[in-house]
Amino acid sequence: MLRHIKYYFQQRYLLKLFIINDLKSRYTGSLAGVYWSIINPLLMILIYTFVFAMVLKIEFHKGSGALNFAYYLICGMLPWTAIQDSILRSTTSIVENSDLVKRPRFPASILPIHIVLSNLITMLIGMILLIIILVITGNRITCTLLYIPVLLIPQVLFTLGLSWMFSSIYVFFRDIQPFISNFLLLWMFLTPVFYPSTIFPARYEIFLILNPAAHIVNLYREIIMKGNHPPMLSYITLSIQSILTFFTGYIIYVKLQPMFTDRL
Amino acid sequence: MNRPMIICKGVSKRFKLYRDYKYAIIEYLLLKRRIYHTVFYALNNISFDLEEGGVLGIIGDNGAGKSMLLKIIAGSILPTSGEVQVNGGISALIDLQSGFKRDFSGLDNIRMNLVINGYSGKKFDYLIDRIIDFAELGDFIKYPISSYSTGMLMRLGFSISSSIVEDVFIVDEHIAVGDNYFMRKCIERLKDLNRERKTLVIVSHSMHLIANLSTRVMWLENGKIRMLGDPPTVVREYEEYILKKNSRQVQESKNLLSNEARISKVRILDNSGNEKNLFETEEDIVVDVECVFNKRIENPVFGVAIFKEDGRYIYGPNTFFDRFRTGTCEGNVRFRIVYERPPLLSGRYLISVAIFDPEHVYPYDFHEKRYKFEIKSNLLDHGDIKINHRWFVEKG
Repeated sequence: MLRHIKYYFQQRYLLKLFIINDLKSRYTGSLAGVYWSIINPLLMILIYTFVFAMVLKIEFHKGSGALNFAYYLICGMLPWTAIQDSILRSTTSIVENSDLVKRPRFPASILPIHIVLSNLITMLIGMILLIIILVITGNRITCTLLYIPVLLIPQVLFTLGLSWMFSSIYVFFRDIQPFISNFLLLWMFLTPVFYPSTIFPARYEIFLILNPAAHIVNLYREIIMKGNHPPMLSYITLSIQSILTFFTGYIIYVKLQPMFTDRL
Repeated sequence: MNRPMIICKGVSKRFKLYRDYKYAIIEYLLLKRRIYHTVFYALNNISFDLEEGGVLGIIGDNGAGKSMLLKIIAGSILPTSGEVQVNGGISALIDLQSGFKRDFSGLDNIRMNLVINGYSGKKFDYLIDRIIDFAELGDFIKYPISSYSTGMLMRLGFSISSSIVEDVFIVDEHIAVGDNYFMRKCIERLKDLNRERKTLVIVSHSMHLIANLSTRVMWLENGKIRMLGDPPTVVREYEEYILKKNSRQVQESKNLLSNEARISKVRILDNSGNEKNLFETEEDIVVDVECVFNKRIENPVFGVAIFKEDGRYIYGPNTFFDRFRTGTCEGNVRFRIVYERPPLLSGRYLISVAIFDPEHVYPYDFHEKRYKFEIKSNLLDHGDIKINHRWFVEKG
């Protein structure tokens, strides 16, 4: 394992190359190019703010104001989209880049890694924009924002674990792709993205505890929107879940990887 | 004896062939109670070793397993059984698609390949320049390779893979061709690598290249080694086999030929009527043909043509174009053509013999490139034929 970490450190130039090309390729051919990765989340924030704060006037918590609801929504959607997008795109990444994977010495595991990291960058851009807008609209910003990097670690481990798992299984069982996209839809509704976790029925609370995405979304809301220290229990649960997922995914990848070229 | 660079021990590659991959899953779920696959051996018990600085040429028909063997040596495919040991760094060009990311620019693809192979710093920058220089892609190097033509992709592929050779270079020559200019460049690069005592494994259909470059040649047939030995012997055997195969194909299509006449015997003679296969430049060559006519034919057309061993057509006279009247033919007929002082230079040649109908429309019988002779010449001239010439020099 340590050997692998050292290996990925050596491959960091490759990773950089892949991430930059990935970010660029999303907007190739457009006039604004890479700047879309800033314009895009900005537009999203503006639209949500407009719809929920001006048109629908929905409140998240009683008396918290409709504007806040939009920000709550966005604060939950950014990490969720990063997780969802990473998993969806990673699943097919090894098969789609079979030409590369067949090449001796090409580290196939870099394909899910770069997708996860590139989605993370997109998410962080969105978060920075959100924080700027929060400041402009006169919200209180505290130094609990410094917890964001701490929260990134379990998020990356968790997403990466699932991405490795699905991308290597997909090489052999193509049936999992439609299953995953539908499962992600269900998962999104089971995660308090569009609603506060407080309205989740108490007797089903176990679903919230078992759901790492719920922890991630809640923790981001705690530290960005509420300015609280992250609830320790939640963070520890998330960390354990993430580490387990990470290693499961990694082991599945390592076991299946030697058989890739025969199936591609 | 040099230390062995590549050691291949009893390598086999077995495939389970399924009509559709879903049967593989069904089979697995049924715990193999029902078998849906057929077994196919792409490689069967291949063993050899190659010393450092050696050049192994691999020849064989399509589907013989040449590319599969390359991929296994390169390590991109694992053998089902057996063992491959390579005591050094490998660079390979086996198929054009692998090793590229299609939405990356040419330059980023070069960078990616260099990084994968562990280059950095000064060496990295030096190699980038060298690769770009060799590939001669101009401004295209900055564009995504999805916009490249096959030829450009091939140039980039060869340029990258041949520039990062540590110890072993594996190349399938079929894809490393292209225009004559670049092919020559590729061959020069291969020769350079050979001079630097790199170990090379080359698959090629060009017997010329194989015979010139290899230190050993392997002939693969249906996944097995048919022959492994010194280049001249194996190449000659293989060429003979190709020749036989071609004539067998002609024989198989013989029912296309009509029944009126058959060529029964062909001999290549010298001037005094002795059978001979080795001639000198400008020595008379006589081709003597015995045939049987089953029907009475007025003025059938006889033809005898000369080809270079690689199949290039050198000369093909017949009695129709020569307006030579062959008269009434029935039963046993013997005809003969005398090539007077043919200006052919050194090399191996093939002869085709044919009998056509009087209008020279369809052949009664046709022995295509079935006979061989060789020219050994003291002349140092290059080319196919000798053209009589004189030199003039004027000064002042």
